[in-house]
Amino acid sequence: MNSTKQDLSEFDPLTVDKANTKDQQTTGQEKTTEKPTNKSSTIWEKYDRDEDEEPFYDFQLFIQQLRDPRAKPIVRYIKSFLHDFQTVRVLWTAEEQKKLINDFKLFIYDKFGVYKPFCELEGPRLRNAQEGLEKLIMGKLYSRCFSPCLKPLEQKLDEYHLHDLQDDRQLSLKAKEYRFISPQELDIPNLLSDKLNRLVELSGKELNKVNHFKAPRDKMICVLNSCKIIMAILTNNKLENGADSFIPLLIYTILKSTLSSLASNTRYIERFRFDAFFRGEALYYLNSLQAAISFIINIDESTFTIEDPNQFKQRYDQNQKKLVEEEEIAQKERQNKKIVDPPPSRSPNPSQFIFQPLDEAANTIKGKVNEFFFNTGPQQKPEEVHPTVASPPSVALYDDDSQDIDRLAQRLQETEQRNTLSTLKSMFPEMDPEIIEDVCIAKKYRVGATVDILLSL
Amino acid sequence: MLQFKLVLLGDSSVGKSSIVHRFVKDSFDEFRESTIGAAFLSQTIKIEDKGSQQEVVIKFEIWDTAGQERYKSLAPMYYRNANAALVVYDVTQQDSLAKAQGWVNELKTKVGEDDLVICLVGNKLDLCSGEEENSSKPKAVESSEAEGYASEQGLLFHEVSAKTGEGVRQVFQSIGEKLYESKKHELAASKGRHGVGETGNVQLQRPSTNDATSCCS
Repeated sequence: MNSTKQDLSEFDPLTVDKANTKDQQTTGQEKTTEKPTNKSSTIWEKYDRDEDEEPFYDFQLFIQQLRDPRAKPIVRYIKSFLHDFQTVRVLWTAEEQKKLINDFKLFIYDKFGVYKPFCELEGPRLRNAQEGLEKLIMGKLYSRCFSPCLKPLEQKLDEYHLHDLQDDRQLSLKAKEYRFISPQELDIPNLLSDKLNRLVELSGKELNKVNHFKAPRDKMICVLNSCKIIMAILTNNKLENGADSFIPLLIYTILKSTLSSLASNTRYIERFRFDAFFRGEALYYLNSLQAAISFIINIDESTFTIEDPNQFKQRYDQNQKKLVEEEEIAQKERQNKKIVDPPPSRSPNPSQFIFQPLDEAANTIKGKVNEFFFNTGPQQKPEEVHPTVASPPSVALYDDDSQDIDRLAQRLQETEQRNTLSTLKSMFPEMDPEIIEDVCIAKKYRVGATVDILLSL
Repeated sequence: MLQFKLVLLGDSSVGKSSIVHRFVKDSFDEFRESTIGAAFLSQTIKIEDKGSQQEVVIKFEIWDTAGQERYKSLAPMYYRNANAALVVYDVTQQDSLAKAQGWVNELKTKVGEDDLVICLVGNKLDLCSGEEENSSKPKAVESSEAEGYASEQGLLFHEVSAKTGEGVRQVFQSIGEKLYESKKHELAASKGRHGVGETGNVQLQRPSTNDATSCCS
């Protein structure tokens, strides 16, 4: 049982939330973080009410259910599957992975009907357990299944994983090559240009968050949020001609944002999201994203509506020059880094993010602070970033000071929330700013959900 | 509830999105589910089972595609696994019918499924209603021409006006009925067998294929 605990603790948001709750008490920021509760009945009530709006999703509850002694056989199945998956072979092909994982999900979903407490669940609660299982196993197997994690083994990869990596590279090259494109050159109507770039930046940022999550569902939510922002931009500009406007703007977003591993992310979602959960709007937007990616990979000059070929050539050459410069700087930085030789930063635990979709900043800073302790002495620490510098730097320090880091992370999260709020205000200029803020708070600053509500008002 | 995936195809000037927006807007409020203006819309309608005369509720998931020429190559990613396709042309533009016929051919060769319901729709009927002399445009595509082509190809055919709403509802009603009739037997066979995570829904969407072409490539 002990090892089971250990096994599961990695996915357990409770351990993270404890730190957050403590932190909240000192800083009084309760409203932005979901408080864990052990009374499942209150959870039911809450979610039963909200069911129409947002599907019930509570990973922590699933972990609690797994801890139930009666669920022991389920835990044993999961452990043995995870063990076998990682030891029987080092590398499975993408197709094998997809089949193995899907078959296992089906097997366990079936077993849910046999063992308590799962067999007592139905409807959204059963769905939550099914979602929980997917998140649990994909979190564990992420480094074996997500193509960018397999880069060091590139020579030995199967064609699908290899294809993902090639498309990632190709996409990022093409996006850089044509990042100077103007909206008009993609036939995006003029009237949007005013605030367009700021809004596109926001949707691009949401999209890039796919890299901060491991569960297919969580990645999917990032895609959905990003697309909803794009739809909101269009609706607000009275451009209600559906995909004719949406697709160009989605392509424009990808060209204008620095996104990594986008192709791999879409394939990962497609492979490991359980079929029955994967339909409707989410599927539409994932397909659109895949369409946009394949479009960009095949882009060339003839793709665009070019008014003045000479001027276009000039801008193209300018951008090429800039790219060379940037590459040189990046190379220098890499060389400098090699001298310092930083250890790989701790990979983020996905469950930390369940209740905090706006945690990009939090996550980055944790990594940074962590790196900081390894690399440099405390004397270089800027005061406001990390006020307690008394103890000597060590690996253990990370844990000791996690509270301070959490506070720091919280501050950054607040900054991001402020940014989101101001962007939303500029997206909905005709709307009372207080209403926008209220909706943000009610929806815990989840951009997609907030935009949905604001659009319906 | 039965769910069907319906994909919208047609040139960007034919007003294909407007047809769907009109359909969703005019539908009963009790079924209102989507934000108008979206590229993905879902709408529920009621049809009558011809045998038992009972009402059946079906839900359309409507996938819009970008109609501009340069995005034409993306269409296959949208119409795969579709149960129905709405191919739209503009009754005042002769060449838009030719483009629509191009889509029909592509669907027939690429989808290769006998049970894909294709509906040919001529839009902008209001422009040539003839009641207002000044705004009236000549009808460039005769009904008989399009209808003849449709019956030859085994398509459903309608002329509509997204602007006035004329004929719009019938388009979806007829697609719904045809889909229901062709899926009825499949439905009966799968009754009692629940998909995971659903409460008695029967999903008629085709499962995604596992071949390489199903990924974006």
